[in-house]
Amino acid sequence: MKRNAFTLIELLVVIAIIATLVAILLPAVQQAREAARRSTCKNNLKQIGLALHNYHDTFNTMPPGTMRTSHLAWSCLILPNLEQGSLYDAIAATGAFNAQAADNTPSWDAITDLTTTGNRLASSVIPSYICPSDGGKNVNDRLRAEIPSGSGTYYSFGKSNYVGSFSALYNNTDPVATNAGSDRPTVFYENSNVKFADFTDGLSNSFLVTEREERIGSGPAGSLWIGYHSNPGAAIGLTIEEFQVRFRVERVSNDTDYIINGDSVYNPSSKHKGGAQFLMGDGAVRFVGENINLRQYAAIGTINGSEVIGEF
Amino acid sequence: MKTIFCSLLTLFLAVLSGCSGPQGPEVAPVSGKVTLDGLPLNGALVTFYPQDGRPSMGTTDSSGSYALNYTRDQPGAIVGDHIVRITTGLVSGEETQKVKETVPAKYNSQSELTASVSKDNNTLNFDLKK
Repeated sequence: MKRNAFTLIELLVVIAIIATLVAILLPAVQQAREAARRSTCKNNLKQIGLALHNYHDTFNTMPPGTMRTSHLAWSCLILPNLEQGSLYDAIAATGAFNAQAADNTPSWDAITDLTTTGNRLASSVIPSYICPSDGGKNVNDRLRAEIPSGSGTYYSFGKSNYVGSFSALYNNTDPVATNAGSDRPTVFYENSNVKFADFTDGLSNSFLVTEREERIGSGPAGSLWIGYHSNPGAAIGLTIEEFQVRFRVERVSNDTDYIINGDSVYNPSSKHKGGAQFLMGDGAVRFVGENINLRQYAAIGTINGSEVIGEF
Repeated sequence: MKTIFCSLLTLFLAVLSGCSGPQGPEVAPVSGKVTLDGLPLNGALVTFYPQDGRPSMGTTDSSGSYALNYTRDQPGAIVGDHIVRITTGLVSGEETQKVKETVPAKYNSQSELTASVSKDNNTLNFDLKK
């Protein structure tokens, strides 16, 4: 018997196979998209690394983590090195960089040309500072400011997903202990001027910058590229407002608040599965898994701890 | 014809079953009860530090019960030996210590407590003595 049509069974089997194929393929497409976003994020960190090196070439020092009076952050000071020279010049024209403790010049969030009027420069979106996996808006609503204080009017500023290394736990005697030792300042603290020569552990063995996601509701609140301000509301306490732009690599107390992808607002965190990306001093970008041993993690964090660091 | 289709489909599904697998270190659920001198200890942070890897933590409720979390979406702790720290002197983030520590130092900063997490469900109770 010669037939020239499919039977019902054959048709059903073919449909089943196609359905299974689609079912496998769809999650794979999602993963491919996430992989692409992660490599964009990696490129952002790489560009930040190059900008920091160029800054160091010019000034023979790393930019200060935060500036005491103007509250501007390192990420604002390297704008010319990220091809954002015109934005930098516009910020300079508002007088933000002239702030001095002596004449009590205000911090950046008190300069209306930056925050509430005109071009609202602080709300500018800089794609190099935004991790595409983070989603949401390009301004940071978690770290919005109420200006003037008590008015009920809120302003959101340009988001950054990258925060600078502030301190790391140093403990060279006990290989296991994580709550003993001392906190050592690393690269980006208030009015810091760390030089490459200060990285006695080696640039390739020290963290500079990592990611901070903006989680909806609670937990990590992202960052602002321009600096920290004093009206962060419920997202981050007033006494710790500098942590809007910096992170700790472990700490002598409370060590569980500083693990990668934890729930606090002081730790590295990302929306990439299983860890976060770190910019090393030499400009390399490493993905550090959240399973990393805490002691080893802290050892990489210090810039002058002389720890022996294994593979990570 | 039908046999070929069926055998092809079976082969296909058999190949598929190899596509997933566990990721990261082996983690097993851990829960239990903490008592101090026989009374349930409320609001204490229980932290398990493995020999190598990420610590797990959990907070006790009013009945002294805790359950450990490894990451945000994964409960449990790494399988193996742990150093356990139990503290009530919780500091919220960057603040300095405000809450009084009621648990002796031999259970937290100078911990002598250890625990072994096995592959199955773990119920680990700690009876602390002042």
